[in-house]
Amino acid sequence: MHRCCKLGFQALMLVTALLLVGSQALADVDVPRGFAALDAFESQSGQRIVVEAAILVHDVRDWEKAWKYRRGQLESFEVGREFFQEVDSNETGIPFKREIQALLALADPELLKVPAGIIVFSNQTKVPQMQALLKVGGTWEERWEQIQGSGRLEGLGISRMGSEIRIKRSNFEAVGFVDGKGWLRLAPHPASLQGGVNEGPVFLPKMNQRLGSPQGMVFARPGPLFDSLVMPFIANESLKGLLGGFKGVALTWEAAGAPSSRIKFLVDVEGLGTIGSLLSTNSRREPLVKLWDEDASGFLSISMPAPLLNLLRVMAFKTLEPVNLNASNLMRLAFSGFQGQVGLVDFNSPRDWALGAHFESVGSALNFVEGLRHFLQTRIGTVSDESESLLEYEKNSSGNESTLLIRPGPGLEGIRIANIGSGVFVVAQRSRLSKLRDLRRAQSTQENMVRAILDGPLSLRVREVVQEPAIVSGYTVLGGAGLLWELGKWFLGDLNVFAKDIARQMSVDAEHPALEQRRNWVSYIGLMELVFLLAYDCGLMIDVDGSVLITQLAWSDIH
Amino acid sequence: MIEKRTIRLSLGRGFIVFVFLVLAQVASAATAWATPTEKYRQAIEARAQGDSKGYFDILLDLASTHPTSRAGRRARAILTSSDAIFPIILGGLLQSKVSDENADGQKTDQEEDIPQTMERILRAQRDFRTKNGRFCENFQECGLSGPINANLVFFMGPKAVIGGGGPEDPDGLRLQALATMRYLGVLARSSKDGFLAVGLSNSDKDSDLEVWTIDHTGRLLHILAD
Repeated sequence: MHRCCKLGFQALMLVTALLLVGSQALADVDVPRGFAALDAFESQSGQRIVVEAAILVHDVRDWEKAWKYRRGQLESFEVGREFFQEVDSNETGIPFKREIQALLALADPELLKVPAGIIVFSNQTKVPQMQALLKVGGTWEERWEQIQGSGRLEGLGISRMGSEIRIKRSNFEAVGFVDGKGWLRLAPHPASLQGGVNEGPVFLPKMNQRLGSPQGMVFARPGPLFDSLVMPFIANESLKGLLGGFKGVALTWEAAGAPSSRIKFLVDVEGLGTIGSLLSTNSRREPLVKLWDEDASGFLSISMPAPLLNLLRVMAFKTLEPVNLNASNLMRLAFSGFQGQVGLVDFNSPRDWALGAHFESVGSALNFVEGLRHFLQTRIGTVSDESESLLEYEKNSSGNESTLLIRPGPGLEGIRIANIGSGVFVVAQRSRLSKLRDLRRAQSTQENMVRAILDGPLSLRVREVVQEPAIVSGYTVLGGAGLLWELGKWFLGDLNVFAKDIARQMSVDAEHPALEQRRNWVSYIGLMELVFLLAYDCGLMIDVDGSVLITQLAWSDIH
Repeated sequence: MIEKRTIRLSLGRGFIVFVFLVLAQVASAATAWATPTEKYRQAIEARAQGDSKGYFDILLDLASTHPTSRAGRRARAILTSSDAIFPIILGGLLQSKVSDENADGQKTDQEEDIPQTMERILRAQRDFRTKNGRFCENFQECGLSGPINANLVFFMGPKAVIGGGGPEDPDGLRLQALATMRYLGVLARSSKDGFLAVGLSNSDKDSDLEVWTIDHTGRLLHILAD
């Protein structure tokens, strides 16, 4: 099977998690909801402005803590120690690390938190402006002198003339000062050093509620900038209509004392509000998940929204049109009773997985299995005369359990499609089917549902994400060691020959010009693979609440 | 004098050996007492150092001795990861049938290696039984100890094994194969009246193996595709 075919849902979730893992930080869980930098910006004057976008953090020290955490984790391995030795000697690595550390040194050590933000706004002039804020405290001048003496500002282009602070780089220039409340304000133009009060709330109540209490966030809102830079370039009328209802987009992150992290992506679009009720007509508590036993290590469940379910039914009916009448009728009946709930579970063993779909009754599920049998007999019959040896169908004596075995070739093991109550399941192993059926029978007499995944050693953040009812939710214990190597090899042009050396010590064959040119990339991929191996699990949910689309991804490390 | 010196020397050597043994025991015990997370980190270090065997060894130990811990679950997930994309299995089922027809039965060289060897094993076993009234218990007894591609490994029992680059198991293929067979519930065996031989390969050096079995009735099964 081709490599790309192996990147299952688990792998895709994991890669996404890894790309975002750099944002991990260590800090107190109890973070305030409001961002001090935004409050300070709004208190600078009474002029009415529109906040169009911002990056806000409660505590810049979190960034340093996150850096130390990740470094500590990686430096316990030889490859990590080698990498950081090189980083230290070359002053390379994380972008803006020196700049942030220098500015942090200005902050009063007595401050419990060092809030900061970069705010993009516009006033009556409709010209986009930007201001950066950092809380440094009142006695910053003493610390400035100390930093000057230590040489930490050397090469950063930061200078001071009286109360004015200036940053001058080849591609960036900013001017600013520290105000009476201890906020360092910086802006590309002096006119932008005075903020103002946003017209109305930054977010509508539903979005505000869904943001939760993150440690940091990036957001964008509609305003003059959006109207002049985005809307004129949208030619498609439907998209224009949808963007007309755009109320805001935000990416938040939180990473607390335990080594687990969560990111949320939220979009508030007015149009979603009108179809939101349609999207959530299905029960979002996926009933199939409750069937899985203690072996389950990952799942993905989808509660199909009504419009999508109807579309699927129409497509199925069209496909069935040319098929023989018996199969067609049974399948039509079955699809009419399909509830739009689908679950996929991995049982942490090769070829041990199950895919389930929920039907309204046992009869519908039976119809589906039997209809599929007739359908496949017709289809296989057109390409092979071995349809009898490729399909095996059986029904129990009471007539409420049917099983269809589909073999890819005579004598080869295939997959089984069977009904368990009103669910239809696809499994690769016969023993898994027996076990699921036994569980079903046991559950009819027991109150306690088997919920192995949620009863497992989940971190709080991952549990919160997995437990929340959603249109799509998923969880997996990470596997797939070497996945990043594979992706990296694609990226670097299939460098199979060097993969082993890279894994061994991150140093690469200098004689290979292509690899030498991408040495940094190789190092980063190697470290990401290590970070990936040190991660334990991740959970995902996607849902619509009113006009807000919410996507959450949480992951945790081995500990 | 000479005798005394010899005795002292012997005692000295004995003491050094004793200390060495004690230290070895302490080191061994320390490893055994390591927490699941510490063991998992040891596995990663082994992997980073290019020690595939050590890596799989520790993961197997973790998966079997600490199955409910986070490290144990993670180890098991690595050992058994990446089945396939399910929709591709479902959607590709009929398609593969058609493709096979179109390909006119031609397969790649790698795919042919295992089935051909499995048929060789079957023939050798049948010949052996005709002469000796029983099936042979290992490859050497069957006269099947010829060169085998290092990417392939064959089992006739847990210890009756050929291939994978030899007993040193340089790439950890034998260990990986044992782990896969264990999780698949496939037991390679040979007795007087029957046998089940298992052939595995890892042509792309990933965490998945290609698995085939053949038994004394000649039933050749393709259990797992890489």
